[in-house]
Amino acid sequence: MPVTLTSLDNQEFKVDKEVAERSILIKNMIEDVGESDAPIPLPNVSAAVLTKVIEYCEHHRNDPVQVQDETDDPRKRSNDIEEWDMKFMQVDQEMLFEIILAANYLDIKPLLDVGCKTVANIIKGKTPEEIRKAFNIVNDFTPEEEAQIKKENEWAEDR
Amino acid sequence: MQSKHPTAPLELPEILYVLVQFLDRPALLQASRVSRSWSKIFSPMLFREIRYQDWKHPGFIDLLRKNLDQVVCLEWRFSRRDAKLRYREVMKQQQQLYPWSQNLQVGGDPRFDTLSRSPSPEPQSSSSSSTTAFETPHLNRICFEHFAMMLSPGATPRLRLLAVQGEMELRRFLISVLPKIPTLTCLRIEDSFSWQKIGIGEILNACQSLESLDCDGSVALQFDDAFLQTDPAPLGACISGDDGQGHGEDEQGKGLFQDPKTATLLSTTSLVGVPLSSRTQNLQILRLHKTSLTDQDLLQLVRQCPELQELFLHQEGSGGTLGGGQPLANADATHQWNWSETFVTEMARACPKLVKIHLSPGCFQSLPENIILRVLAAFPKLRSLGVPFSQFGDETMQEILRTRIHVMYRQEQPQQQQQQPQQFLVMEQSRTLAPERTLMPAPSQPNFSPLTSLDLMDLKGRRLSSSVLQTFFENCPELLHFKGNENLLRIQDMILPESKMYLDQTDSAPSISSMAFQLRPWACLRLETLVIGFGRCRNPVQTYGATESRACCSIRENEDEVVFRQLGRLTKLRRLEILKDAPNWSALTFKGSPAFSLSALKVLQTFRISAGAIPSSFAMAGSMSDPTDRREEEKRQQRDLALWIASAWPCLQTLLVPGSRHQQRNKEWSRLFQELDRSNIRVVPSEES
Repeated sequence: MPVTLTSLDNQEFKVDKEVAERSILIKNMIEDVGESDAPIPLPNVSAAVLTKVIEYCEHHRNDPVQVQDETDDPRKRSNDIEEWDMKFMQVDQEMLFEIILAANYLDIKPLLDVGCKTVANIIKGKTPEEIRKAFNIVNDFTPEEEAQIKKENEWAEDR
Repeated sequence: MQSKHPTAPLELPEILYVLVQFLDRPALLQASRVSRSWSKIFSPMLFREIRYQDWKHPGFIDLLRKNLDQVVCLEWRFSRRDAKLRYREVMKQQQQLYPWSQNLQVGGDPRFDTLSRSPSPEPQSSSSSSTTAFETPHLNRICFEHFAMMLSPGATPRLRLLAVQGEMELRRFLISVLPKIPTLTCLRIEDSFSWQKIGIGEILNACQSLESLDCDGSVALQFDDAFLQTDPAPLGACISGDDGQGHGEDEQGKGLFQDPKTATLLSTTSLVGVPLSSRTQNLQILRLHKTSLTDQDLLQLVRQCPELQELFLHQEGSGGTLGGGQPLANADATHQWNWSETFVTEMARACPKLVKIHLSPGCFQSLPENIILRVLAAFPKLRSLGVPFSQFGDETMQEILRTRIHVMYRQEQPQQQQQQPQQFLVMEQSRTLAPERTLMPAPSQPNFSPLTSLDLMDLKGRRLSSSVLQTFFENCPELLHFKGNENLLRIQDMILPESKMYLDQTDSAPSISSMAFQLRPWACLRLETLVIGFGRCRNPVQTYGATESRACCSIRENEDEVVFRQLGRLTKLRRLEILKDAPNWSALTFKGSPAFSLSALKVLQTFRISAGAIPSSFAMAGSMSDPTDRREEEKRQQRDLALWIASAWPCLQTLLVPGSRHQQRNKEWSRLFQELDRSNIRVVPSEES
C-alpha cells in the first residue's frame, strides 16, 4: 500500500507505507488522516534530502523497533556505525546536516542517531583547529578569550 | 530547507541533546575551544557527567555551582577524614567571624550559608584567605553539608543519576540530599561502609521518581516497617527533609531526628496521606548486592514495585562469611530463600514486567536446577538470566530453547511474521559472509530464543554439555551478553560433524582457500560480551606423544582457526575473555593467518590476552634452545602483537593479562602501548587461566 510524499519543491515520492512509517511524524499523520490517497506534504524537506531519507528507510525497513537498554547509565554509549550506514553517510557536510535536520523533523530516531554519531566521529580525536577546518568555522576568539576558556575548562582535562 | 549557518543543526537543542551523548569528555573539551558559539554550546555540556576525580580540582566547586542545571550524572565521593577537617575549619571560621556563634549548628544559620557560598563580604584581611581556605588544593573533597547546601531544590533539574561512594553517614546523607533532587531516576551507592542500617523505604520515600536503585555490598539495606505502613495517621507527624530546620545535632551526628519512628518517614507535606504503595510505582531496576531480606520481605518489597523490570539479588549466605565466621548449621536460618512454587508465582504476579533476573544465593549455596526451571516457567517473557554458582544444566538450556519463542519483530504486522525471522537470518549471513565461505543453512524453524543476556559464571557441576550450548548459540540472534565457565564449549562442536576430520589434519598449516570445514554459525551476531572457555578435542601430547611437536602444533592451529573464524563474525564484541584454551593470539600478527578475521572487531573495548599469547611454543622450543634468544623472540612477538592490537582495535581500553607474577610483562605492555600512542589502554592483571 503506497503512500505519496511531497517534498519542499513539490516533487512526489511514492513509497510503501511500511517504509514511510519509519518516520513517526508520517506515521502519526497517516493515523490521523485515516485511509486516504492524498499525498503527505513535507514542506521542510527538499527532494534531494528526501531521496536520501527514503533510501535509508528502505534499507532499514525490517529493523526491529529500537529498545532502549541500559538507559540508566549514559556512560556506556557506543559510537559504532554499521558499514552500510557509514557508506550512506559519506556525503558532503551540507547534506549531512540536512539529513540530520530532516531526521529530527520527521522523527526518525535511528537516522538521527546515525547522523549525530557521524558528526561526533568527525569531532572526536581532533584539535580545535582541525575541527574548524572540518566544519568551515572561523575562529572568532581573541587570544585572551581563548586562553580564558582553556583555563576555565582545565578541570576537565584529566581523565 | 537550506541551512543558513554551517552548524545550524548543532544549535537545535533536541539535536544537540542526541549529539552530546556520543561525545566523550575529551571531544567536548576540544569542541568548546573551536569558536565563541561552539564554546557557548559545548562548555556547559562538560558538566553533564561529573566524575569522582573532578572534585579535587581547585575552583571546581564554584564552576559546578554555576552549571548545576547541566548536570545529568553526578558521582561524589565522601571521605570522613576530610569532612572532619573541613568541619573543624568551618567552625573555626565561623567562630572567628562571629565570636558569639559558638553554639550555632552547621547548616542552620543563613549567615553561615552566605559565608560558605560566596567570598566573605567582610572587609577583613583574612577574607581572601577564608575563601581559599575553603578551596585549598589539598582538601580534595567537601563535607556533605556543603554538598547538600549547594543543591537547593530545583538547582539540578536534569540530574538523573547519582553515584555516591565513601564512608559516610549514609542515612544522614540520604535524608539531607535526596529530597532536594526529586527528579533523580538512578541512585547508586558504592563502598559506603555504612555503619547504619538503611531502610529501603527511606530511600524510596525520599525519591519518588526513582527508577533504578543499585547498592553494592557495602550497604545493608533492610526492609523496614515503615515501608509497609499504609495508615496515613503516622505520616502527619513526619518532618520535611529540606534544610534541617534547626534540628540539633552534635558533632558525631547522632541523627537529625529524635523520634526514631517518625525519623524513618521522609516526605514533603504534599504527600501526606498518600499510601506507600503508590510511591514505588516507578522503580524499574533493583540491584542489591547484599541483602538480608527474607523471602517474605522480598515478596513484600516487589509487591510495591509493579513496574520492576530488572532484579539483581545477591543474598548473604546464612550470615556466614568466607572467613568461616559462623558455622554452616546456620544455613537453615530464615535468610535462606526457598523459592517455592508459590513464592515464584507470587513474585511473577507482583511484577509482570520482570524481564531480567539475576540471582546469586551467596556463598556455600548453589541454586539447584529445579528452581531455575521454576523461575523460567513463571516468567515466560524473561530476556536476561543470571544464575552464577548454580546448577544450570542441559535441561534448563533445552527448556529455554523450547519455550522462549521469539515470535515476531513487528507487533503490528502479523502476516509477515513467518517470513521475517528467515529474512533476518539470511540478511545477517549475507552481511558477514566472506567470499570463500559457505555457511550451513539457517535453521528452518522461525522460533528462536529472545534471550539477551545469560550469566553462567562459576557453574557448579558439569551439567551443561557443549553441544547443547552450541545449539543455543545457533538460536539466539538477540544475545548480547554471555558469561560462562572455563570449560564450556568444545571446539569440535563448533563445526559440522562431517568436517571433524579437518581438525585432525597434521600437514602444514592450512591456508585460507583450502578450508575443508563448515562452521556451525552462531546466530548471535550482536554479541557484545563473551566470557567463555573452550575445550580442545583431544590432548595432542597424549595422542601423538610429546615428540610429535609439529603435529600437535598443526592440530592446535586447526582448532584455533575454527575459533578465529567464529569469533571474527562477532563484529559487535566489546568484551572478549577466553578463560581457557584460548587460541594462540600471536597468530594475529602472522600475515594471511585466519586470525586476521578478528580485526573486524572494531568496537572491542576489553580483551583478555592469555598466557599463551607469547608462547614458548613447540616451534620455538625446537629452534631456539638459547634462553636469551627465546626472550628476544618473546619480546619481538609482544611488540608485534601490541602493534597489531593498537592498529586493529581503535576502541580498546583494557587489556587483561592473566597472572600477577608477570608484573614485568604488564609493565612491558604498558610501555609498548605508550610508545604506540595508545596509553589509554589500561593493562590489568587478571586471574591465571
